[in-house]
Amino acid sequence: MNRIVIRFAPKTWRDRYEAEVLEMLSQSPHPLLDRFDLLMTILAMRVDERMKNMWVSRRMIGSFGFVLALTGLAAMWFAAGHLTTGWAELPFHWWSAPTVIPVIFGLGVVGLAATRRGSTSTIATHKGEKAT
Amino acid sequence: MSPALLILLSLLEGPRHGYAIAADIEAFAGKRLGPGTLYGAIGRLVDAGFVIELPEVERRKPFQITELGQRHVQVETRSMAAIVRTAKARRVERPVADQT
Repeated sequence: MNRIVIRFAPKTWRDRYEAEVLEMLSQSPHPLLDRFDLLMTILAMRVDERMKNMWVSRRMIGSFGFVLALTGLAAMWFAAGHLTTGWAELPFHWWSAPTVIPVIFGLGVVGLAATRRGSTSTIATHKGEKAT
Repeated sequence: MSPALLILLSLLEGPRHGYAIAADIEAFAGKRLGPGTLYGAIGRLVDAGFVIELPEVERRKPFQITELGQRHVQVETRSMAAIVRTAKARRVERPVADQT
């Protein structure tokens, strides 16, 4: 299972650390949690890798997610206004339930864009700094 | 505190391999780093030139902090110390009871 998870990591990183990561995972007292942690790191590395070759910045993607979530919220608010019991009834109609999707998706995009796990920006900040 | 800074702090004591770094961080910061977070951060630190990989010892790769990495720790800890000083000063000026 651990080998399957690590297969998704970028090759350069895998070549360098695969053996050690697998060893740590095999000795882990919380294997499920650590597998999830590894998956999230791999996802962030993949996103970072893609972002390097894209013209859109992390901030732009975050803004897109924010606008999407806001639009979804507005749709939810509009739908709730047309229901007899308001927000509580929202998930029970075919036309009102999907309004939740852009909110969840938008917030997910914001979260992914804001994650620092795979970001090198904080490290790069002081790279050129001189000691005083 | 970011995993990268915790790793650099751990390496100030001398070269260590991943497992020893994780154990040390758990001991001094009470924070457990999963293998993904740990080696993800180590990879970025190596790429940034803050840490170098030493030749393998018993199938484990020790890591060593570079001068650039030490400088980064200095800058970061200095900024943290300033934040702590400010927090303490503000708390002294305005006791908790008055903040309501």
